[in-house]
Amino acid sequence: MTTDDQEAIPAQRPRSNGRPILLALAAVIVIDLLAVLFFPPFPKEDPNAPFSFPNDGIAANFELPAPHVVFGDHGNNALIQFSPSITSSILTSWIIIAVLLVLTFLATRRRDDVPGRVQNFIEFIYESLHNFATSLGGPAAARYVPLFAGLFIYILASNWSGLFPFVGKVEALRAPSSDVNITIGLALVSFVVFHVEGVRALGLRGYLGKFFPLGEFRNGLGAGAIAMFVGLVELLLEFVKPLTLSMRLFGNIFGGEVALGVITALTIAIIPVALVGLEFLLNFVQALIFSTLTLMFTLAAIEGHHEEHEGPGHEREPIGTPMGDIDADPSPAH
Amino acid sequence: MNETGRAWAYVALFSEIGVVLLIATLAGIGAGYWVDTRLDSLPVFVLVGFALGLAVGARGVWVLISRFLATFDD
Repeated sequence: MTTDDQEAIPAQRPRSNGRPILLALAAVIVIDLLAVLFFPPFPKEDPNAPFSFPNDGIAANFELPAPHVVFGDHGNNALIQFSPSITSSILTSWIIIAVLLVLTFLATRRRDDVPGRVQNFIEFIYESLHNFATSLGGPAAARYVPLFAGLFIYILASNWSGLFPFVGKVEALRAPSSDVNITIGLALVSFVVFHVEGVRALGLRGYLGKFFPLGEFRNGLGAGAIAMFVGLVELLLEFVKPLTLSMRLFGNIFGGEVALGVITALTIAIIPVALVGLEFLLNFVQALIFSTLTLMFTLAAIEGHHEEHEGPGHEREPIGTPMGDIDADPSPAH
Repeated sequence: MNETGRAWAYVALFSEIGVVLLIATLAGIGAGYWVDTRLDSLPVFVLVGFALGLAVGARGVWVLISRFLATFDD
């Protein structure tokens, strides 16, 4: 056979007919059916009562917004209260923090100029986040990359923790971001960072001048009054920011978990598997949204009143960063 | 900004646009209702809170569009 003949014959590739996937799905369905036969479901409130489908299946998967108290005072039913206690979401949050710290420590304790596989992976993640943040906010964003990366990785781990089948089913464990107390806490951290950084960059007088532009009265009483009203609206907007950050994250993760539980209770296996894939992606997006908005709001806080009106392209020089060596050359060291 | 980064940045900002308008308006109505129940003046402060919340939300949307989305196009 000549070379031309060989080129004329299309390369024989093994065709994937999806058989392994179908077999895996069939196995999951069989396991599910066996589980239903040997461990029949029961109502959550009364295990001895007959199981009513689909009502009991749906009811069993509605989580109460208030998390389960693992240690300490159970408090009362007041909407806002102070009761020192460790809830399931706080416990899960501590576990996630510990796992992330240990993994990062183990992966970076023997850093080398020629990185190994694990160090390379960690560097790739950090540099991707660094490049994303600086491409979004310019050189000024470099200072806030550790905050951005820390928030993103913690929230991502918190969101994904809810996809483990036992998290949320075992009372002592619950995805931290499905608890509104945790998301409000995260949003308050962001809120403090916006304003501390704003005051640090502009000074107290300069920062307050964004909300109380008394100097506008030099242009007339009307201009001053309008500027003061706009400043008041801006000030109120600052308090809306942590609300939107916390409620969006809580709503998406909590709603996703409830939807996943209910669909799993109502169907056998195929739809929940697809939904887990969708939740996996949505949880990633929610982590990115929270951290990106924190970064953007912080950058907005350090802009002076006049810089806001100069439009895009006006970039502030970096103020200085604790990660100086990374700022110098963000190119990956693969 | 590269295309992937731009796409994610758009996702973040567009999701914020709807939420900021909703939360600001609801917060304004809620605060107004709270004041009204204290002063027994329903619905005066509910309407004031609604208008102020809507203004805050609209300002938030305007800031997002004019400042951040324009920055992404650089």
